Amino acid sequence: MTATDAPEIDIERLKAEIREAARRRSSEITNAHATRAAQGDGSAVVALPPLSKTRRETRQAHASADGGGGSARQTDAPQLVLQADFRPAEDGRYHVNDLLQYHDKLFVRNAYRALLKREPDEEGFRQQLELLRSGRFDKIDVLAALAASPEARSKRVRVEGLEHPARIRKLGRLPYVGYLFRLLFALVRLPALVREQQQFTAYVTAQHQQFADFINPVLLDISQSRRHLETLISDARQHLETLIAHQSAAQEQLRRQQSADREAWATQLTEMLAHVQRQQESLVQLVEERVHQFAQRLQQTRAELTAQEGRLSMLLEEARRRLPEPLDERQLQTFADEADFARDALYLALEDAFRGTRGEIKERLKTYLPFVKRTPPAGALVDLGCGRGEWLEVLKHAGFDAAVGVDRNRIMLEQCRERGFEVLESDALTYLQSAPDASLRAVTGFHFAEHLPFPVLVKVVDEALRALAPGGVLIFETPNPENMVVGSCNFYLDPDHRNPLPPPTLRFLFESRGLARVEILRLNANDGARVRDERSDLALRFNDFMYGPLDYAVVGWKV
Amino acid sequence: MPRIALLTTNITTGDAVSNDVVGMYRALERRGATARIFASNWSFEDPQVWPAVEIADFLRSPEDLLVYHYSMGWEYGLELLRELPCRTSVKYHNVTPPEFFIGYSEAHEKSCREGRRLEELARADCDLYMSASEYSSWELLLAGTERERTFVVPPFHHIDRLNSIEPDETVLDAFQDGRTNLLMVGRVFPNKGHAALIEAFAIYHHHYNSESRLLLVGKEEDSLAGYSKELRELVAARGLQKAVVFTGGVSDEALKAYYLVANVFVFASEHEGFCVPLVEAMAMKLPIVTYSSTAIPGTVGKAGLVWKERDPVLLAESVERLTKDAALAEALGRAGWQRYTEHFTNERIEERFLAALAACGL
Amino acid sequence: MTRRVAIVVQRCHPHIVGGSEALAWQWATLLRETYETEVLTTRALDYSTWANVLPAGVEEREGVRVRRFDVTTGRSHYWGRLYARLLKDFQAQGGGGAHKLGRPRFLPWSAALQEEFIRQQGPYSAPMLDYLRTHQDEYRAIIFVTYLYPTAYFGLRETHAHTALFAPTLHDEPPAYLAAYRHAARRASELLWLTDAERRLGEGLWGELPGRVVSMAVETRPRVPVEEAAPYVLYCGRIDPNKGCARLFEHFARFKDEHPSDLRLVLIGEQSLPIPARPDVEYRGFATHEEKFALMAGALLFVMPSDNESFSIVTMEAMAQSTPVLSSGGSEVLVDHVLHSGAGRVYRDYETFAASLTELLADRDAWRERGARGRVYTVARYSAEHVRARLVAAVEATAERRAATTTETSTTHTNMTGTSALISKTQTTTAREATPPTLVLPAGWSENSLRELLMSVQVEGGRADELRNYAASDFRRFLYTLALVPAETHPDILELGANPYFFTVLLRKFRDARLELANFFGGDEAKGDEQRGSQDVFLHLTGETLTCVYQHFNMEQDAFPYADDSFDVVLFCEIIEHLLADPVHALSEIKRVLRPSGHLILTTPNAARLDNVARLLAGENIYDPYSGFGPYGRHNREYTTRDLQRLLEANGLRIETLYTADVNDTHASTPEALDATRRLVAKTRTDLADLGQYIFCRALVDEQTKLAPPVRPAWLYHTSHKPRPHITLTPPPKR
Repeated sequence: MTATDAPEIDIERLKAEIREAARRRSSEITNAHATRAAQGDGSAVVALPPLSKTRRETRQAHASADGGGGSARQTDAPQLVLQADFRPAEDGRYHVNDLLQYHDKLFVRNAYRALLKREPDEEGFRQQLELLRSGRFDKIDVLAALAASPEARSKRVRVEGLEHPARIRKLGRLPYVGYLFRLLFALVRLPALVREQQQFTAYVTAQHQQFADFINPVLLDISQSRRHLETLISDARQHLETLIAHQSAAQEQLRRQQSADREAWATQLTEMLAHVQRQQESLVQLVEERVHQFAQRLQQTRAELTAQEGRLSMLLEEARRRLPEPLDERQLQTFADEADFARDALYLALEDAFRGTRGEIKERLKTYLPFVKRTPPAGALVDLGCGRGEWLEVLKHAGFDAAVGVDRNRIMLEQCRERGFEVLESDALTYLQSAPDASLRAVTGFHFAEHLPFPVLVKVVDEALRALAPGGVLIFETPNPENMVVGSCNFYLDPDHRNPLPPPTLRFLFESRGLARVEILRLNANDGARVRDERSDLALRFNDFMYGPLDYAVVGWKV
Repeated sequence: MPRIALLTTNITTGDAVSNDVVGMYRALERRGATARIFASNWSFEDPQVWPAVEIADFLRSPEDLLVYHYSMGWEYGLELLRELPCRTSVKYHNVTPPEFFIGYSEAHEKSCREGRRLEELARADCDLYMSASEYSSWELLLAGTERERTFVVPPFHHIDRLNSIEPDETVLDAFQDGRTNLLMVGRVFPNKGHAALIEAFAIYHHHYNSESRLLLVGKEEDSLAGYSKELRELVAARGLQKAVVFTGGVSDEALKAYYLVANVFVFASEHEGFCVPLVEAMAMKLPIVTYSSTAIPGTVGKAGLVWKERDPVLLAESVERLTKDAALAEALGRAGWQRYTEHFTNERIEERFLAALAACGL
Repeated sequence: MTRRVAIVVQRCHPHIVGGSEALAWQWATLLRETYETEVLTTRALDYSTWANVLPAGVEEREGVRVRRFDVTTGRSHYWGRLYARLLKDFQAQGGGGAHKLGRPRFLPWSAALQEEFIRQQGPYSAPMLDYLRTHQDEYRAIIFVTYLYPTAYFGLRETHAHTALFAPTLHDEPPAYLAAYRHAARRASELLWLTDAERRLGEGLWGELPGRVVSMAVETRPRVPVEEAAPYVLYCGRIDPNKGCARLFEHFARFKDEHPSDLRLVLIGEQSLPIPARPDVEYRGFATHEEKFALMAGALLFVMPSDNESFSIVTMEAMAQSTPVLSSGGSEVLVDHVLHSGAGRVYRDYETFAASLTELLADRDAWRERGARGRVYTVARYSAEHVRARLVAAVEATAERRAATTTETSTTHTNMTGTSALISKTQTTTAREATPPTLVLPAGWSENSLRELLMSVQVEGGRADELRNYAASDFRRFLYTLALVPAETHPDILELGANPYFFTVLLRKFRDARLELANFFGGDEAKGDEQRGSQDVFLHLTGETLTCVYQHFNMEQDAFPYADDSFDVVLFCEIIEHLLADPVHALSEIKRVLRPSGHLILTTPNAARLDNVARLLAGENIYDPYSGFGPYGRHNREYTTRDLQRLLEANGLRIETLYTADVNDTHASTPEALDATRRLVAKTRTDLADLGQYIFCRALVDEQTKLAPPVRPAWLYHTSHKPRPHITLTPPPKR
């Protein structure tokens, strides 16, 4: 049982088994055929050869006929025929030359068939051939001998032209006379003998010619077929090689294909991942913006609220004071002041709208930390116009605890306090004036100077210089009017701004009032929008005017 | 989008070449290509067939593709192959060597002799040569086609249809009777080795199992009456008149029925280009016993008993073994089915077809 | 390996009342508790056409995922004719039953014709076959239910033998004599039989095949018997000549006429046969589920006259209600049931019928006894728990065979064992075993049978599925632990944290020991005065019930309620990692109650197990999530081998054995990640010994140990930690 129930069968083993069984079986089958044939029933079975076979034969015949099929060529190779065919005569009459034209074996055989009308018996054949080849007998003798035999006589075969020469030979065998006679006879027959000799030579050469004629085509044929075979073989080899090459090429291709696919997938995957990430980022950004917006709204409402409070308290205050006596100077002043404060909300709104988000500003302000760090570690750091307290926060993070903010905007101050920064509601000048000499480590004013009338600014610088400790630093940042957009437009986004302060002016101010190592830092260039054509200096100049640094800072040190 | 023309001489339902053409057409259709079938004679409407003479109007751009199904000598086909301005390819359905018909039919002999002008095909220097089997592609390569443009693409077939249709039950009634049915499917042509098969069956019938029957399913042609006659004589001579059935050409329904009643598929053909019936037998889980010749070993592979020696006793013994050992027969049948699913389902063939096209940038 | 299991059945819908469909669904619901269970089926509802009526695709029903596929070949008249042909040929060769002779006569049909018959019978679903071809590897096992239909026949052909289980629900019917089914059956890794009778039929037809009788579950919950004035014999089911009811009526009438009594015959079920108009024969029409069981419980006898039952659920249900059975001898299955259970008698003619009834009326106690046996038999074989256990066993066996053959899983296996080795001498001074002891299995128990045993454990008030999963996943851990418990002596053992008693079961079965149990179910009970409790544990496999009495106390606060020196072994397994404040308290109490040269056996998850390392490397967190069962429900402090060694040695315990081992292959990290990590770790140290999932440790207590004061090492306790001075109550020594 081969692999019963197993889906995979060992075909080869199975075939071996079957072959074995068939071998055992086939013998009895053929016997059966034989017997059945013998019994005569269905004798056709053996009588008629397998049809398919005959068919293939006929096909071959045809093939060779129309010159196709090399197999046929070998079979019909030319037959070599050296001696003419001998047909025994029905009437048993021959001329001696009929027989003399044969030679050697064939001669003896034909002699028997002619004279005794039978195939030669072995013994006789050997004798006659011997005599003939020894030269003791010539053909005539042989014929004579046979013809003389009683058997020949009984067969009644007549051979014309045999008696006469035979008789002469008899005479030649007589004692004494015989020799003379033979000599004489030879002389007489000499010409004939010579002719015969010539005939024989001719005959032999003819034979040789026939040999040659036969051999040559055969040789030719052989060499041809050999060449044919060779070409066949080489063809086959070529095809084999090409086929192998083909296969290996295919495999190679397949392998490349696969690796290609793999890479393709990989890239696809990474792209997808990247995409997802981008999505997430944009989402986060969106959320942050929303949060920021809400924060802003909250701010504004809160701002308005405080503003309202301010006005309300003021009015109440006044209402109490009002009657009966008329307003006095101080009251008017408070009015004015409160009126100022009443603008706080608006100002905050402006700040929020134009100055930029807290984060951005803090980033920008970090630029100044190195300066502050270089100051000797004593005294407070004052930020004039601290606004929403970004700088204070930066300082705090950087580990400067003694930072103080000064501003007059109550709402901003409130925010700063919420954030836990130390701030004072005060006008910058008055604050500095109140500060003792050499008590401050750093004084900063970001987008502060441009809010002051120039005389006041000068005072502020003087006071700062006085209050700073040796090694202390004074930093003002302000919009950079060198950038025409800033100078002509953005500067006035803030209605509270006075006049643009060009860098040289502030530098001059600092130096002239006695600050040392004064330097200008141009900041926040709007590189994104620059005209990207670095060769034309027009473009360069245009870029400087239009997209140059938006802000600049002037930094000075107290010696 | 290049247009693709499938060209063949005659196209009728049910013959292997036509099935292949239609199969190809459907495959291209599914793939969204604009394809048309062109022929000089046809016998059905779906899918639509266009007269071959109009092919030039269809294939205009050099991007277009001609697929010439080559199954017999047809000068016009060769001309188109040589002269159309577009890219060209040949699907070579093997042509029977003329010798088989000598003494039976001048006409067949002639057409086959003309049909085997492979050198001309090769000389046409097409972009792609497809042939049904390794064996056939050998013939092409020997004729001189380039191997990197020569591909084996087995012919599309109607086996899916066979599976779906209901069989002709009269056949079931007639032959589902407990006797052992040996089945051979193939036109009654001299290359199909009917005689050898009958010889083998004679031995099986007389010496192994007299309760057996040989079903010879296939069209007979008047032009080959001589051959049919010889076969019947042989049957008579072997005393098999009651055991051998010549069904003549049959419907798909009947064909299916014959597969359903058969116990073994036997085959002795002397020349096959691929041989779809062998694949049908595999799909039907029918164990296969056959002499080896031409494409047959390539098609059957290890999924059947393939004998190099043309020994009738071997064939008989094989059948005996399979009919006696049901489990073995089942396993061999399953092996065949396995081979069918792995290599010869229309899906697989479609893959190989498209692959061949792709390999030649078509 | 995946936890998904699929059941393939021709159709599936609550409205379908087919035997095999019901079986498939029941098995699905049983497997649901252990595996992600799916039913692969068709959209068909009606078997006469198999028309696609139900929606294709996936639907969820009672926690089972049902995938429906299109039917591509339904059933036509053509099949009807093929079937007629089959019957003809079947009769022609002299019908069935041949298998009893051992050499079945299969129908002389060609493979193609047989498959044509099966395909045309429907439902043939090409999409389902494609799905099986492409998705089979996603399943732990695929169970094909019912041999007859293309779903199983062609499905088996598409499915790898290692994945396929085959429940033929075979009947002795003409199609069973198609050899094709024989070959299909051989493509399954195992056959699941309903009954011994079916198995005999199957092996008669198909030859020897690997398989087991899984059978189907029946309702076994005992019901309150109905109050009936007079005793009655009950029959449930279709009232129909094919069920032998006509004969039953004759027999009963004749019996009553010959032996007058108040005995009655009560019938419920669909009626398709006139019921004799006699006062002592009552037809009650249809009965609800509950009514039926109540009637069964109340019946004096349940009678089953049918000769062609393939399983006879009603009979099993009646037996489960402790009701004796009188069954016709015509049905092999019923004869098996009655003979194996001793739950009643078999009758073949009126005489045997009458004899049984007279005997019944004469000696009711004897028959009540039979009834009792019936229940034992049914519960032991056909209760849901038991059937599930056998199903799971079959699935696991298949999975194991598969794992054995696939090289890739075997390599990961070697990796697993690779991690379980000793901590090298370079890291510690105490000598230890090189590898965990090979799992010593008690004589006569295979690992599977043991797992089956533990998985059949059901604890009073415990959730079956949780318990089963726990048992399944931690089974090897129990065996490792068991290996640490001295076998030869007859020790006194204290098992701390015994619930859910898997290990208790093992100790009871395989160690001759006096066993004390302790549990702690959280704070409130602790404060409560209830200091003792007890829980019942059912072993469905053996039908045993263990009653587990335990002391209830908080192991890191309370004094253990046992006298000094009262145990040879204390099992402190999977507890220490749950403690909140003071493991050393527990340790010193253990030292106290252990006798000199007694053993502490401690097991706990390995904080530094490979999986954790991998997760940390992957930036994931390894801390145990918070638990619904309160602070004690989570691992509050896991230990590494070194932690444990230092802690125990600091408290004077002498470590005899300490090693880590993997007990299952559930890891949070991917195999790739684990391998990568293993390679990485290999770069940083000389051996990978202590990467196993669990730490197993046995430590010796001696005189010095017991004298040693409790030490709370700084690396485990904050300096600020002030242990509450605890008063050692000395309760009256037990025993």
